[in-house]
Amino acid sequence: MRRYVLRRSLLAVLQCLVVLVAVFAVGSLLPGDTADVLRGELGTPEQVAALRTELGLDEPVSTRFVHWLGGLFTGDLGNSLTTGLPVGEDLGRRVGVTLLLGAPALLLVTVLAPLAGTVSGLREGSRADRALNTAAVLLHAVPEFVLGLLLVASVSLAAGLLPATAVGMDAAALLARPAVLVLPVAVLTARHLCDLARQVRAGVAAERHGAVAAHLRLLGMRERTVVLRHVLPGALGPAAQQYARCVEGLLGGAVLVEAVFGLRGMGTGFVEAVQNRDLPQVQAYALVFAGTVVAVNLVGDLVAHRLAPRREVTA
Amino acid sequence: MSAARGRRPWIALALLGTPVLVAVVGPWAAGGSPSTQGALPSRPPGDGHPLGTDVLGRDVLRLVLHGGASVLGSALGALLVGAAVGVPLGLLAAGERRVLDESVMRGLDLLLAFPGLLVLMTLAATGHREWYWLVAVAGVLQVPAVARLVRGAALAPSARTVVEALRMQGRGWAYVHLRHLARQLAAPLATDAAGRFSVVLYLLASANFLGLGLPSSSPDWAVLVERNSDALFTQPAAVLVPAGLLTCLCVGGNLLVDRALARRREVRP
Repeated sequence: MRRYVLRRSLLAVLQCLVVLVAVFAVGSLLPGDTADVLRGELGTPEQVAALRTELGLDEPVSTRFVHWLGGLFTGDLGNSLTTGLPVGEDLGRRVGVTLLLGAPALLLVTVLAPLAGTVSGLREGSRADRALNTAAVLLHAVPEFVLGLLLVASVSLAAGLLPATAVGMDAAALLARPAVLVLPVAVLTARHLCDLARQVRAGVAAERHGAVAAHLRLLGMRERTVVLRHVLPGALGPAAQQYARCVEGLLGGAVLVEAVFGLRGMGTGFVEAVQNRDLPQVQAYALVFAGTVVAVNLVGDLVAHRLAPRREVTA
Repeated sequence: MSAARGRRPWIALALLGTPVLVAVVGPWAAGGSPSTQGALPSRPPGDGHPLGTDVLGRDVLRLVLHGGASVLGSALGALLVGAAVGVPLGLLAAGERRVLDESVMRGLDLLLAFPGLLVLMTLAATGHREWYWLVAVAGVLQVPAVARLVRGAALAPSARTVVEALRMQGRGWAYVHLRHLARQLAAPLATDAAGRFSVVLYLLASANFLGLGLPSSSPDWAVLVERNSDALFTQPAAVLVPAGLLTCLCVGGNLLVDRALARRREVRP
């Protein structure tokens, strides 16, 4: 156990390093660095050279990397190229909207997926089981933007039930009109809920028919105890890894859902920064997103290992 | 259950076949350039435009017929890139040298820190937004999974015994790897590729929807959905037809994979 925790944590640290180097490279090593982006507006080579000096781009790479890391740890990620404001400010303004979207979705997935998965795993072939299976197969690959627009067309436009967009609303405005959030949260939740529930279902079904469960029954253990003490932990182990991937999927999904519904969250902020080629801003978003993914996957793998130690799980 | 299974292949094939047919035959059937403008923008279906016009006044039917090729082509291209890099790496890791195995697999673990969409967005921010960048990176993102699958299949106990026997018979590296292991790996790779197709399709369509890849004038289905989503109310056909075709492609492919997996499970309990 301890050896696994150490190895897996080391991997996470290395992943963080790779992320840091890659994000740093985006801003200053690849062709198309910050000065190149500004060149289009500035013109003369002398001005670009002056800009390079000003931005410190002509110093050695190692010096710049150390300097950049130092700024990172003091919370100074540089200023946005489009607004001139510190990039942290823009992130802070948008994080509320994304949390309003992501937190309910995550909560729904966390509560409903194990529940639905267990119920259908314990009743294989029942109507609920088949419904879950069909929904999972249908939703697994459909991108959020397609699902979102289909829902907007049917629920909002044809049936006139829920608001179709939330253009320009900030977190406070959204809280005042939660109906706006129903469709985005539903779209964000649907896919991952089905995926995770299906994983739990497969685990429950496999464990329930397994040799260990049969042996416990032979020993006279009650079915309820077998399910609670053996089947569920065994099924939830692999599901914990899938759950970590699902958080990662929710982050990507939030980008698409925010774009479809016009929410001003971190996803649209990221897309805008990309479209404006606002590199410091892009770096900040990339760090937040990749950092979250590394952390969540680490926790997911450790939990999975704790629940089902026999599985050799990495990353 | 079995009755439902029995009906499903036709549903799945029809769902998958429609968009594939549109993508493959569409460009010939439509003829001409998809970007002929001139009609009024965002008109509902009628007079000369069976599906109406899009926000730029282009014929939606013609756009849709032209737009499938890039969707299908880029997804297949990314799968090829993933297999071309992932299979050799997986075989390398499955070889005798433990050092190689460790370094390849741990190196690929590092790649898992990057969610696909994030990589594509960051790439677009540095100005690499040509279609081949998109396809190449979407393919490379599949490498860890493909390599792991290949390594696992090549290291499976049954595979190892046969490989050792072939070696003792004096068969060379090429025979073992290209004839024996290729046959051994074909089935798991094919199933994985079919499932991976939807992953890649999801990634590329999402990137194109966010405007990270193809130019906004492209007839690609995901781009069409994005361009016309503001006119969803006045001209729903321009959004719903390409969105529906994308959905059919994803769902149809998924249903077929699900069937194939279920059948394999039934064969080997």
